[in-house]
Amino acid sequence: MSLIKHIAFSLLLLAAAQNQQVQVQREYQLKAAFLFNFCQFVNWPADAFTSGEAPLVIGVLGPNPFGSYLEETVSGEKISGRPVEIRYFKEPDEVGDCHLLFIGGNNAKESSEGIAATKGKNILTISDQPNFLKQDGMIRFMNQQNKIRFEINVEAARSAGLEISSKLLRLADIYTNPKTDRNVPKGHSN
Amino acid sequence: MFLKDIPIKQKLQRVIVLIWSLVLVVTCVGFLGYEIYVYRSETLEKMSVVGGMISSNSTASLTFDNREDATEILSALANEPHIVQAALYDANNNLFAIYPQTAGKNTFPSKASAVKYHYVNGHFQGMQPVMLEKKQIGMLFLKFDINALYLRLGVFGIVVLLVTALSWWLAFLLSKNLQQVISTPILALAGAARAVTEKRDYSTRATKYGNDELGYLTDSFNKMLAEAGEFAHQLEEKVRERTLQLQTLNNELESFSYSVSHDLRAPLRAVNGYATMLKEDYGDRIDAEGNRYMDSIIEDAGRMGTLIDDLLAFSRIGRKEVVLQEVDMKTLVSMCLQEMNQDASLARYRIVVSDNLPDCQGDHALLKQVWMNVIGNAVKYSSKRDHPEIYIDYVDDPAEYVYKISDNGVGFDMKYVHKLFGVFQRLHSDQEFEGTGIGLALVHRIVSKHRGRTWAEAVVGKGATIYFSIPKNNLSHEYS
Repeated sequence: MSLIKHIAFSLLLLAAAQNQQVQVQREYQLKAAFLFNFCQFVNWPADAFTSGEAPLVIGVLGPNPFGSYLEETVSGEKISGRPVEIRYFKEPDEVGDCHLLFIGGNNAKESSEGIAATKGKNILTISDQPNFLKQDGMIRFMNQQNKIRFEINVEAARSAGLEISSKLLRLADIYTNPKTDRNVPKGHSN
Repeated sequence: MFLKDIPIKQKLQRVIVLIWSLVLVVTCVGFLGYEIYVYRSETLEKMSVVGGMISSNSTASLTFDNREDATEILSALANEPHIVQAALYDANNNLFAIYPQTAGKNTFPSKASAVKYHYVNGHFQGMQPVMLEKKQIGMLFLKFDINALYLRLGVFGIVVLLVTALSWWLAFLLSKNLQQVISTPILALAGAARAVTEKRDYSTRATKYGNDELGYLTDSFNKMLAEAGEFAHQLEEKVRERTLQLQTLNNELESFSYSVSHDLRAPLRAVNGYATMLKEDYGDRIDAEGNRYMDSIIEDAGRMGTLIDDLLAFSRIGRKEVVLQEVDMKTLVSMCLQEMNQDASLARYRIVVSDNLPDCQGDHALLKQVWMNVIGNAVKYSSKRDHPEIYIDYVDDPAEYVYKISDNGVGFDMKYVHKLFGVFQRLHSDQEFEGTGIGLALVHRIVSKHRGRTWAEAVVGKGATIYFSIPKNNLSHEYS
């Protein structure tokens, strides 16, 4: 293998990796928009905010896959008259007053700890982790046919005092807890 | 005006029905306008309600870029049959989802732009924004079928037609009865007026139906009628009175002139007799001058006798009753001519009598006197002609038999025509033509007794025409 071939192959690999990187970036740009959009279709109880003008806080726990997209998405936006704020947490016990929490990483243990940290608070939990809803998480992103879809655990949201708009539920797959098989509204089935 | 010559009943009825129809038409047009207005605003409201629902439901689909869901939301419009097309546009105004899916994408506006709802080719269409959190995240396009309006207007039209027909019929029936309130008193008045004018019955009274203006009119009419009746009665009385007076006077006058004439004749006969005897017995002993005086006495006494005889004949006619019978005028005329020919030869006269001289109903003897006088007149006044001509003819007339006698004699000045038929009125001197002035007066008197007329035409030096007429159906009249 000549040096030139070796360099060319390396360049090709680099380009492919670059492409992969671009796709991932594009995905999280969309997911950042989704996080913001979720806020518009979820109702928090009034006591979840300290005042009428208090900001709505979007938190990210663990590694941040969004880069600066979240800040770009929410900049200048208001939801029900509230400004939107982004906060980043490294450890579950750092999770403070936030309204929506994205739990990064693909680790079931981490997500389970994250969920535990939001117990008793009016926090909407979101993650990419496949078993997230089983762990009482509320919204899980899925990639289907090159499209970003989401699954919602309505029970978990309700027990956290959150109201998810039926319009949002229309677009989502509804997760039904096998233990408490109850008649929850049936959503989109693909 | 088209109502001018029709009976008042129909006039009233037509006026009522006409006004009613007009009211109906105006009302219907008003309601139609209102119906269209209501439909328009209802449609607008419906579209804004439906549009609002669709917009609100599709916010999530638009924000999460879910076309399938947006399409499904739009497909719910199948329950609104009047909405024929709908489409959602995204935040960049690009077509996002359509309804119905069978419609081609090019049948929708390619880009969204806010347009209020308006009419386009039998459709109602427009765009409204889809809002989320006070932000426009897309547009909704709706197209509404207007056929429903036509259907609704069609139903409305049928209802209007039925209502119109029904109420028109009701108006017709009602007006037929209601018009009587006005027309009955008027017709009663008209009937009374006709009875008065046709029968001259002033005792007729119009019935009064109410105390309105027509009632007042009826009262006035009746009052007028009473006054007119009273007046007519008085007039009749007066006429009867005057006629009686005139008749008495006339009778007195006639008996006076008769007795005068009669009484005059005796001394006149004595004068004539003695003068004649004087001339016969002593004529040779009286000189020529004396004989001439006696001749004058005899001649003038003779003339006076003729005058008295004529006068007696004239006054006798006034007292004589007319005996009507069918008179063959042609035979009568030839009889007269024959008689006159015995007195004096008429050989040099050219006398033409019409073959078709009509018969009439009259007194034979009196009519003979008429003919004798008028023919004698013509003979006398044409006697100085070299070729005297007399024509006896008639004039066609529907009501009368008109006879005319023309001659080519001396004629007379039409200025004096009014004197022609007067007693002792002469248009020529005794020296020119002998006569007493009784002849035509007699003719006039006899014709008048037959209820006929006499008149004349003439040109001085060219001749004269005398006319007299006897009415047709003369037998039906009574004569005194």
